[in-house]
Amino acid sequence: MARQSDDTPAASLVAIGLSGDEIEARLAEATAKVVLVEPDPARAASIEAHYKGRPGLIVIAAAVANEAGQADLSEFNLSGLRSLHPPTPAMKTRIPGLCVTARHPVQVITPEALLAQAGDLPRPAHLRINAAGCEYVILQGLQRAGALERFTRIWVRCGAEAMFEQARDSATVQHWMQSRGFSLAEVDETDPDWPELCFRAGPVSSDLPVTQHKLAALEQRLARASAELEEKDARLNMLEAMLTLAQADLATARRMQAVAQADLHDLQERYKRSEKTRAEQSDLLQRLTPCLQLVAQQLRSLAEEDKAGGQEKSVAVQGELASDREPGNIRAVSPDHSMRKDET
Amino acid sequence: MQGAPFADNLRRSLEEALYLLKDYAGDQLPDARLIESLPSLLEQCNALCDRIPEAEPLRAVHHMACSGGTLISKCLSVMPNVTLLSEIDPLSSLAMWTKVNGRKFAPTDVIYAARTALRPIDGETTERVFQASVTALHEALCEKGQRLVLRDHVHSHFCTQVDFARRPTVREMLTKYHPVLSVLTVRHPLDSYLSLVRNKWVQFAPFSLDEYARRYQAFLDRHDDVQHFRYEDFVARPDSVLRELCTELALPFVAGAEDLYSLVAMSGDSGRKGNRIGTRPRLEVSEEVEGQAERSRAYARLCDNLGYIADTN
Repeated sequence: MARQSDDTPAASLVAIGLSGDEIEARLAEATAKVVLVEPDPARAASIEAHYKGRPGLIVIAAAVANEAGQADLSEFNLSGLRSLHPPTPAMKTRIPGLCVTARHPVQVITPEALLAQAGDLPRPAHLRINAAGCEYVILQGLQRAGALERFTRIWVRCGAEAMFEQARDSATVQHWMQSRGFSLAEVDETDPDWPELCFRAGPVSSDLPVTQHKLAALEQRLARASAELEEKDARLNMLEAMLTLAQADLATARRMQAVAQADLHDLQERYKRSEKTRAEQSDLLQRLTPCLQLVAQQLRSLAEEDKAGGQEKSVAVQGELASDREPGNIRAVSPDHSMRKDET
Repeated sequence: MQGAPFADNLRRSLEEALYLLKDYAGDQLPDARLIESLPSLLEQCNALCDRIPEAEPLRAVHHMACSGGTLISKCLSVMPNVTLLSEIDPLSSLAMWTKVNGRKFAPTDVIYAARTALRPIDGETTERVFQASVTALHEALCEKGQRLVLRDHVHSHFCTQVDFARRPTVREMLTKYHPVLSVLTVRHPLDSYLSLVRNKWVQFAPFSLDEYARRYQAFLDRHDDVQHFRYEDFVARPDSVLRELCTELALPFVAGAEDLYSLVAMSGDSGRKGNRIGTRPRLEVSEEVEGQAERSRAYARLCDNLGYIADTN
C-alpha cells in the first residue's frame, strides 16, 4: 500500500468538538471533505448556517459516546470546557471553583454511527478529538469499527489526569495509541492540564487491518499446518516405530537365515558324504555281483554234477541191490551208500 | 562228509545275496577272466562298512545353576541342526505345584500329568516314559538330520532337598539305552554360589558355601568320566572353546555364535544381559560368605579339583 507523507494535506478531516476560533483553520485543513461534530445543537445549527453551501462540509449535531441516546452536556466556568460526564476530584483540585454554568440536552451517537453519517472519507484522512471525558471511548469505538487506521494523523486533547469520569489521562491514551501502531508526533502543552497529543499513523497502523487479516489467515494456515505437522509427526513416529521393529525383524530374520544356511550347509555336506559312500558301495557291488554270480554258477554246477553222479550211483546200487536180492546173492550195504541213497 | 551241506548252504546264501543284488547283475554270465579276485572285493566291502558312521549319539550338557550354562547352551543351540532341550530332569521336584492354583497348566507334559495324578507314577515309571520320549524324539530328529542335545537341570538333582545319592542322574538314565556324548561346564564355585544367593535360589539346607561345595563335588563325582570346560575360558575365547565343546560332542562347529545366540529363548536365563560375551566382575562378597570361604574345606578342595584359586577377590 502506498504511504502518504506527513506533509501531504488531508483529503478529509473529522473534527469532534471544536472551539469556535479554530473552525476556519480546520476547514482549510482538508481538501475534499470536512466533518464537524458539534454536540450543542444550537451551535451546530449556527455553524451549518454559517458555512451553508460549502462543498464537502458535513455538520453532525451530536456528541459521541459509547451508547447512543440523549444526554446532558455540561458547560463549565472555564472557557470552552464541556463534557457529558461529571468532573473527577482531580479536576476539582486542579481547577478550584470549577462549576457548571449550563446544561444542554444533546443527542449522543456511537462512533460507528458517526462513521456511517460521515460517509466515505477520502485519504489521507485526519481526526481531531476535543471531547472532554469521551476521548478514550471514541478512540476505542473507532478501533472497534476498524476505522482508526483510516486516519493518518490524529489529534487528541485530553487531561493530564483523568479529569472526568470515564476519562483516561494523557499517558494512558498515548500508551493505548502506541499499542495500536501510532507514534506520538508531538505534544502541544500550551495548556499543561489539557495537552493535545498528535499521533501519526505508523507503518504498522495503516497496514494493520490488512496485516491483521493476513495474520489471521496466516494463523489459520499455521494452525492447519501445525495440525498437519502434528499428524505427520504422529505418522512419522509411527513409521519410525514400525521401521525400528522392521529393522529388528530384519536383523532377526538375517540371523535366522544364517542359522538356516548353516543347517543347510551341514545337511548338504552330510548328504555329499553319504552319496559318496553310496556310490562307492554301488561301484563295489557292481564289481562284486558278477564274481558272486560266477561262484554261484560254479556251486550250482557242482551241485548238479553231484546230483547226476549220485543218481548214476543210485541206479548202479539199485542194480546191485536187485542182483543181491536174488537168492544166495546178499551182501552188506555200506553206510556211504545208504547216505547217498537218503540224499537222493 | 560235511562238505556237501556247507556248499549247499553257501550256494543258498549266495543265491539270496544275488537276489538282493539283482539290480547289479548283468544279463550274461560274466567272463571269468575279467573278474577281480573275490577276497580283494570282500576286503574292500569290509573297509567300506568300517567307514560308515555309527548311529547318531545322544548329546548332553551338564552344569550347576548360575554357572554360565545358559550362555554356553545358547551358543551350542545355534550350531548346525542342533535341537537343544533346556533344563531337563524328569525326576525334578521343583515347580511341581503353584501357590495359587496348585497344579500347573502343562497340557503337553505327560510326565508332569502322570506325576501329579491322583495315583502318581513312581520314579521308575517316570524314567521309562522319559526314555521312551527321548528315544522317539531322537529318532525323529535323526531322520531329519538333526541332533538332539539335552541340557540337564542339575540344580533339581543336587541342590534341592532330595537325596541326590539315591536317584539316577539324567546322564545315567540316558546311557542305559543310548550312546551319550556329554560335556560338563563349570564356573568358579564362589561366583555361581553368589549368583545363587542373589537369585534367592535357596533350595537346600544348610544353605552355605560349604554345603554348596559338597553338593557341587558330588555332581562332579557322578560325572567323573565327562570332560570339563570352564566358563571363564569360554567367555575369554568363545569360538575356540565352543569349537572344543563341539568336537567333544561330535557336533559341527560354525564360528560366530556370538552374533546368533540372542535368537535363542531359553529357560534358566537368570544372569547375563546384553548380546556380547565377555568377562563380568564378580558379585559383591559379603563378610559372611567370605568367612565361609575361608573356613570351608569342601570349598577349598572343590576349587582345587576344578583348578580355581579358592580366594574371594
